[in-house]
Amino acid sequence: MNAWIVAACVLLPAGLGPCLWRACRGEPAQRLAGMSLAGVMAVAVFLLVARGVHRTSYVDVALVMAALTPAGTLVFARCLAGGSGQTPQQWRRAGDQGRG
Amino acid sequence: MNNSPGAVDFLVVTALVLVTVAATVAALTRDPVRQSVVLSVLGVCLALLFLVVQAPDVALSQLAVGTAVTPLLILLTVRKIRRGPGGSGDRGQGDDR
Repeated sequence: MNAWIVAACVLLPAGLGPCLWRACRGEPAQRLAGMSLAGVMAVAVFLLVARGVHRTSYVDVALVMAALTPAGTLVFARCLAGGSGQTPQQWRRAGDQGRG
Repeated sequence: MNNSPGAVDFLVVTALVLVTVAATVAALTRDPVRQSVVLSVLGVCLALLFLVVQAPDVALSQLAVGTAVTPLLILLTVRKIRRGPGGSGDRGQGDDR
């Protein structure tokens, strides 16, 4: 019983539970905040578990998670912004007019 | 090597509870856009479960598929479907297939 895995035991329910609660309620754009924070909390739990069970190869999972979470958030933000009333043609037209 | 079985068991049970809650909410959500967000969180919880039962390669695959690819496919499909009768320029004869 080392301190790292105790910290993971505390952070898993206390960090991911409210994120899951936030991601399950409200509008899709509000759920996005819960999803993004859940990714960050998962990276922390991955690192704590890797340190706690003395397996350094588990750090690779945290690395992949940290690389994929901002990409997923960007994908969601782009798709949710495009899906709220405006068609992609209107989006592109507005962007072209904005550029001059 | 596993010098703390109680704490690891607690981690497994907690991850199982999180996966159960997320999967139930994902099954009960009707709107596909909201469902895709819940599915993404479900992918994160599943990756955590796979890691604490000592399957990090499965967790890597689950991260790559469940966090990025599946919600992206759902969102692109929803956008393609909603663009049809929405009045953009390139729609066909307006048949409601």
